[in-house]
Amino acid sequence: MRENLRLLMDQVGSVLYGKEEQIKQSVVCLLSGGHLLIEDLPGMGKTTLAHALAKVIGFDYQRVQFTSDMLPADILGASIFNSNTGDFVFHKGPVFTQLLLADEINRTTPKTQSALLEAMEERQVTVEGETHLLPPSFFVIATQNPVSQYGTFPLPESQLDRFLMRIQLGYPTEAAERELLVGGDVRGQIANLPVCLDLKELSQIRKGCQSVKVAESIIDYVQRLIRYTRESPDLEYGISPRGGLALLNCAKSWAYIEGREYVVPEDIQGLLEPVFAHRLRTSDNAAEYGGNALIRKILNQVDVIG
Amino acid sequence: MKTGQLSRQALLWQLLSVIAATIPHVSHIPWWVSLLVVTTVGWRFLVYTGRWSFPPWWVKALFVIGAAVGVLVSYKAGGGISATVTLLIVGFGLKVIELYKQRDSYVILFVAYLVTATQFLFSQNMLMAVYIFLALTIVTTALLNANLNRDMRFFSAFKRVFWMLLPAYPLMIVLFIGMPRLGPIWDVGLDKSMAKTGLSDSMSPGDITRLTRSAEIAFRVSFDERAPSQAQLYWRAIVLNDFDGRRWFNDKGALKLDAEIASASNRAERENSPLWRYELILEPTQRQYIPTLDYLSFWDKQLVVYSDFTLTSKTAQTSRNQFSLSSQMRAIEQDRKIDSFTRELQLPKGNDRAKDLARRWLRETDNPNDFIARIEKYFNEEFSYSLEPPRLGRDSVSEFLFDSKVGFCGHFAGATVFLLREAGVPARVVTGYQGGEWNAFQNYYVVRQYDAHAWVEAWLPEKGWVRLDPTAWVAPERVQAPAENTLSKDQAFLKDNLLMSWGLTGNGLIANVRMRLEAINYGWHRWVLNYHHQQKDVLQQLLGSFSITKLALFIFVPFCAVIGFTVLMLLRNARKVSADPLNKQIQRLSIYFSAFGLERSKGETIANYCHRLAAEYPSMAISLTELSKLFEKVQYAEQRFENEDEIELIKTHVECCIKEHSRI
Repeated sequence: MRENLRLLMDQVGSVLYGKEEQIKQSVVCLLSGGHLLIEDLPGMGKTTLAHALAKVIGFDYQRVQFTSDMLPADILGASIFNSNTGDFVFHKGPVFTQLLLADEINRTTPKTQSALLEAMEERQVTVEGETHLLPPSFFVIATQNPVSQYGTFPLPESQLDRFLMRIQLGYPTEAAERELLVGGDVRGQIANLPVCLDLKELSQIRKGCQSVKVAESIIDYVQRLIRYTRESPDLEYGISPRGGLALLNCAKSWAYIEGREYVVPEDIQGLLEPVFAHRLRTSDNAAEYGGNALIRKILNQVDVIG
Repeated sequence: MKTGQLSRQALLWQLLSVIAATIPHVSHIPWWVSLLVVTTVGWRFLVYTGRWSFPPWWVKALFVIGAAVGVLVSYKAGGGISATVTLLIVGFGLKVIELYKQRDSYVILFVAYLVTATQFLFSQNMLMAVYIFLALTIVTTALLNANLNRDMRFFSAFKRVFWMLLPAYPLMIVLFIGMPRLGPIWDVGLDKSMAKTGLSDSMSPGDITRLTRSAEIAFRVSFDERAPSQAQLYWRAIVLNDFDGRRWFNDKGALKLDAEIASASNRAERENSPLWRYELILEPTQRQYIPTLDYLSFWDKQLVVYSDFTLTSKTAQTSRNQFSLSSQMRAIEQDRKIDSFTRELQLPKGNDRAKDLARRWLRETDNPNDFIARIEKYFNEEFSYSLEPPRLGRDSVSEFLFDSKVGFCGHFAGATVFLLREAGVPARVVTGYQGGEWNAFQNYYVVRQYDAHAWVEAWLPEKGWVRLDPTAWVAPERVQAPAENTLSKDQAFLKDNLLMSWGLTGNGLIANVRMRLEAINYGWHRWVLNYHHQQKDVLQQLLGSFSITKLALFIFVPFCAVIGFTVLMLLRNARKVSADPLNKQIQRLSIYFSAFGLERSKGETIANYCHRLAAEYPSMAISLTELSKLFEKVQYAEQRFENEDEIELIKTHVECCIKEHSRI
C-alpha cells in the first residue's frame, strides 16, 4: 500500500519539480478525506499539481474554470424541458464526479461559491427540491489567487474552514527552476501519468490512517497549540474545534505515509501551516507577521513537551 | 528595530507623554510655551497622519531662535526654578518636531521624567501626586513602546507598564517611611515671586476685601481635646501699632519676649481658664507670621514671640509647615502703668472731626467701658457692613465715621482704635483670621483667606489687653457663624471664583463631598507632606528602640523580598518544571547544555534537539540517537509511562551525554 503511495507522489513529482513537501501534504489531504485549496500567484503550478493528482489517483474528474459570470446551475446542473416527453429532465452538472478541479474559485461570485461549498460539506446537491447524492469519495481541489489580486471575491472565513488544508506552492528552488527551464513544458506529460491507486486501495489506506495511534502527550501538544491560538493577542480569533480535529486527522495520515504506527510531534509541526494558516486571522497588531511567520511564531512559542 | 525608527504607536505614546508632562505646568509657565508645545506636538501629529511633512531646516531654526528670544524676554531677571522648568519644556517641545528615531525619543522621555518630577516643586497636593503617578506611567509606557520591536495593543502596553511599576510601589512606601530625612543638600530657589495671598504687614482700607475674593486655604488647625466655639476663634497674626492717617503699620518691631518670663507670667492663671492645645498647618505665606489664638502660652522654642504675644518664625514660610501650639484665655500686661504707653496712644495730625467726636464722648462718659459702649451704640445706630464700601480720601477715619458709614472689619477696627486713642485709652489694631470651617470628617478647622479679619485690642487698667470686635457689634453673624454664611450674601464675596463660591455656599451633597475631599487632603498634608515631623515616632512604633541596623534591615528586607519575588516570577515563567519523568530528563539535558548555548527551544521536538546536539558533539551521537528513539517509543508509540526500565535507560543516556560532555 505504502509503495503505491510513494509511487503516486513520485509520479506527481515528475511533473512538479521540487515540491515534494506540498505534494505530500496534498496526498495527506486526500487520505484524510478533506478538500484541498491551493493558493498562489498565477503560473506557480497550481493547476499542474491538481491535474497530476487527479490523474494518478485514477478518479474520474471534471474541471471547472470559475469566472465572475458563472451561476450555480453551471456547476450543479439544471432541469431542462424535454419537448418530446413534455418533462423536465435534470442534467447533472460537472459537480457529479469523484474529483472536481475548481480552478480560480475566488474569481466567481459568492453565490456560486456557496453552491459549491454546500456540495463539499454535504456531499449532496439539492436542485429544485430533489436531492442528488455525490460519489462518496467526492474530493475537491480548488485553486485560488491571492486575495489581493484584481477581480477576486475572497472566500469568507466560514467557507475557508470547509477546506481541510490550504497549501501554497511558492517559487521553485534554483535547482528545480533550472530543471524546469531545461526540461521544457511538462503539461503534455500529465496525460501520460500512470494511475497508481484504485478506490479499493484508497479505502484500505484510509482505514490504515484511521488506526494510527495518537498518544496522550500528542493530544496535550495539540491542545496547547489550540489554546495558544485562542489566547494570543496576535490573532483575531483562535482555532475552532473542527480545526483541531482536522490537524489530528491529517497528522495520522502523515504518520501513515511515513510508515509509522503512531503520531510524533514532527507530524503536527509539518502540518500546522497548511491546516491552521487559513483558519486564523491576524489581529491588526500582528499585521507585520505574514501567515507563515505567524505559524512559525506559534511553533516557537508552544512547548512540545508539557 | 534595526533602522532605529520609532513605530507608529510608539510615536503616539511619545506625543502623549510630552502632553502629560506639560499639562500641570501650564499655570506657571509663560503662555507662549504651552502654545509652542501644542504647535510642535500638533505638527508632529500631522506628520504622523501623513498630512504634513517634517519642517525644513529653516523653520526649525526659526522655532529655536523664537523660543530662545521668548525665554530671554520672559525671564529677563532670571526666574529661578520656573525659568529652568520652562527651558526644559521648551527644549523637549522643540525636539518633538524632529522626533523620528529611537534615540530622539530617549532625549524626550528622560526630559519628560524630569519635567514631570519638577511639578512637585510647584504643588504637592494629593490630586497632583495622583496625576504625577499617571503621567509617569504614561512616560514609562512611551519608553516601553520605543524599545519594543513590535506593536502592542495601544492600551495593553499601558496596562503592562502599570503591572511592571506595581512592585515598585511597596518599595516607595518603605523608603518613604524609613529613609532618613536629610536637609536639602542644595537649595532649590523656589519661586518667591509667585503671588501668594495672605495678610500684609500693613492695613489700609481695602486690603482685607481683596482677601475675601480668595477661597485659598490659609491654614488648618486640629485641637487636641476640645475646640473653642466659633466666636472665640480669633487667630492673631499681626499687631499694628502705628497710624499715618490712612494706613496702619508697624514703624519698629515689637520687643522679643523672653520665654521664661512668658511662661512664668501665665502660670498663675493656668488653672482658671481653659487651655487650648492645637496643631496648626500653615500654608506658605512668604512671610514670617504664624497665627495663634490669644494668648499664646506654649510654643516651639525655634520660634520668636514678641511682647504682644504674636508669633513669628525666624525665616519666611516658603513651604507648608506644622506647628504645635497652645493658648489660654488670660490677661496680659495687666500690671503695666498707663503712663508707660506712648506708642499705643500716638495719633497723626488730621481727621479732626473724628478727634472732636472722641473728645465730646469723653466728656459725656466717665470711664473707658462707657466710652466703648458709646462707640458701640454709635456704630449700631447707623453703620452697615459691606465688602464693597465707597473709597475714602485723606481723612479716612472722619470720612468713614461721618460720611460713608459703610465698611468692613478694617474700617471699624481702625476707627475704633482711633477714637480710643484720642480718648486716652491705649489701643491697637490686630489683623488675622476669625473663625474657620469645621470639618467633621477629620475634626479640624479650615481657615481660608476670606476668613481674614481685623479687630481691636484696648488696654484697660487691671484687666490688661482686652479684645474688642467692632465688626461684631455691627454684623454679629460674621463672628458667630462661618464667614461664608455671612459673606456669601455679599456680591463681592469670591467675585472672581464663581465655581468655588457655589461649592462653598451650596448645601447638601456638594458641600458634603467638598468637606470629605478636604478631609482627605488634610490627612495627606498631615501624614505625607509633614511626615518628617512624625517619622521618629512612627519608626519607634514599628521597630522599637532605634538602631541603624534595624533601620537598614527595615529598608533592605522588603527590597530583597520584592526583587526576589520578581525574579521568581520570571524564572517560573521561563522554566516550568514538568511533572512527567521523561520530560524531566529532557529538561535536565536542556538545562545542562543551556550553559553552552545549546538550550532546547520551546518548539523544538526532542528528535530535532538530539540531532542538533549530535551535530555539535559527534562523540555523543550514539547516546543521543538512542535517547531520541527511546523517548519517541515510550512517549508517543507505546505510552508506557509506568515502564521504569525505559525511564532508567533514558536517564542513563542523559547522564552519559553530560558525562561525555564534561570529559570533552
